[in-house]
Amino acid sequence: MALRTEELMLNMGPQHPSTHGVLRLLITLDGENIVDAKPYIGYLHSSVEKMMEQRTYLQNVALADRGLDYLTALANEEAYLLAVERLGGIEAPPRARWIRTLMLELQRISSHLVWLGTWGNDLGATTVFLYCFRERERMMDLFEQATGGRLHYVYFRPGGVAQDLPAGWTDRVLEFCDEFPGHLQEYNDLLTGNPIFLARVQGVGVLSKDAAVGMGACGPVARASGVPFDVRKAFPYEAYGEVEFDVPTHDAGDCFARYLVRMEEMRQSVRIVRQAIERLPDGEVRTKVPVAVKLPRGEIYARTESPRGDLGVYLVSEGADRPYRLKVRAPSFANLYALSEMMRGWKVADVIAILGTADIVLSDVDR
Amino acid sequence: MAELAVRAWEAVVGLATGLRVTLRALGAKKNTVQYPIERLDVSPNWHGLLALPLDPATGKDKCIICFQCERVCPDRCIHIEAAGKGKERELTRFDIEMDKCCYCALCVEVCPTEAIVFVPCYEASTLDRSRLLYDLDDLHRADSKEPVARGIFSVGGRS
Ligand code: SF4
Ligand code: SF4
Repeated sequence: MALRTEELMLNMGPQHPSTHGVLRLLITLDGENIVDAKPYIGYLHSSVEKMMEQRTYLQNVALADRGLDYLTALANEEAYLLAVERLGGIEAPPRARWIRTLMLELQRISSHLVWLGTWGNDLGATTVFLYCFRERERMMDLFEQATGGRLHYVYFRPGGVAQDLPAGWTDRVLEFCDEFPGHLQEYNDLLTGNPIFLARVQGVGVLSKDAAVGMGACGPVARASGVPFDVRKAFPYEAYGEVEFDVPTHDAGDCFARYLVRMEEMRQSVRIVRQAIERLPDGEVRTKVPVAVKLPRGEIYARTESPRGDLGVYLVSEGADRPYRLKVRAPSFANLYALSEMMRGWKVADVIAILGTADIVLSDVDR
Repeated sequence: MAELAVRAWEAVVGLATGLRVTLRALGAKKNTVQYPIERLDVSPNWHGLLALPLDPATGKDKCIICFQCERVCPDRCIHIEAAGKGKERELTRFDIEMDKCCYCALCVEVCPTEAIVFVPCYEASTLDRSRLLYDLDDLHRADSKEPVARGIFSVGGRS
């Protein structure tokens, strides 16, 4: 007698502790194997793009800061302001450009720490979670001293940054940079020294290079599949053209490769932070830009490398003091596309490991 | 058999790495504070609650009623009304809806007289949403309206 089987639909989320937000995954299972995984999004839609049409360019900094990816507020501000400054021909002074570079890299480290901690926690490594957040706490203290905010900074402005760095701040950052690689090594030992962890991530959730390109994956996800593309290198903005750093890539395309790429990115970020502090020029941090600045009629697309990937802002101006239309090309959204491709064919127990390495932030997906 | 031995050895090494970290953490400094009893200082830059401190020299508001903060606020949560003419002009209403405020500091930045400032206070939670509307009196006081976190002491009988 033949065994009768049928496919099972499993609804995961939107309230699931491991989706890190309100992501609903509709997973089709054949026994234990994933036949298909469909993400359903929109639970965190805040219509921030529309709201930005009602507010001036200065006010929109505060919206871009928290309306998109909440873990990388400064990267959002940067993408938005890059579009504004390029369209308006506003030039930030050199010191502001270097401060922005420095801040963006610190932001990358803090965002990757959240990823590492939560992903480790999903896979059962609670120690790593607590340690990553301990490190991130120090970073948030640094951010707090410089910008006044811990998560949402509203620090960049059209034509510079809000205020200069406080006295002695760069020394504290350097101190952090001295200790941090040691801690990173410790987390690495804790995770990769564990055979169970390795068994759960090595060779799991493979995204081939063709699929990564085809699905529009970006950032660390694409680089772990062997696509050597980084906006910081390809289209340098701020001071990225003048600093030295490597773009780590991997060919395997599995969860472990994505882990390795992000770990190496954190080390490279430390390198950039050191260079930025060393070469920080003196001078003004902000050019005079009117509060209700008007941009000339026109359109522009600015792209940046946020910790999650290729973050772009398309801005249309009709000559008023507020955008006519603003469209955000969100990296998490593009990587979510690639998620079904990563998951197909693996076991249901791998869903969490794969989802974690895609590093999706739902407020970035839904906007 | 040999493979099994290798894997067993790897597991032992992995366990030892973890335990080493645990032992080190046992003797190391604490990273946490016992919150309501101990608390950390915030930086002077801190974006906390907003306040309108009175000018110590004159005992009056520093605000010159220019409406710039009201206009720049992205959440439109500042509401100002004034009465009188010329030198006599006085604030009759200065409300900040603290539940809408996103602590962006734009109002503090545009204020020409430094009348509106941040105070290093972060315990603004209340049990009633309407208590998050801060009027002129609350803003003069430069403190939170209902310090729930401090209430723990009285509830626990610690005082
Ligand atoms: S901090 Fe920002 S949101 Fe809050 S009252 Fe001031 S301008 Fe408005
Ligand atoms: S910007 Fe300052 S002076 Fe002007 S209305 Fe606001 S608080 Fe008063």
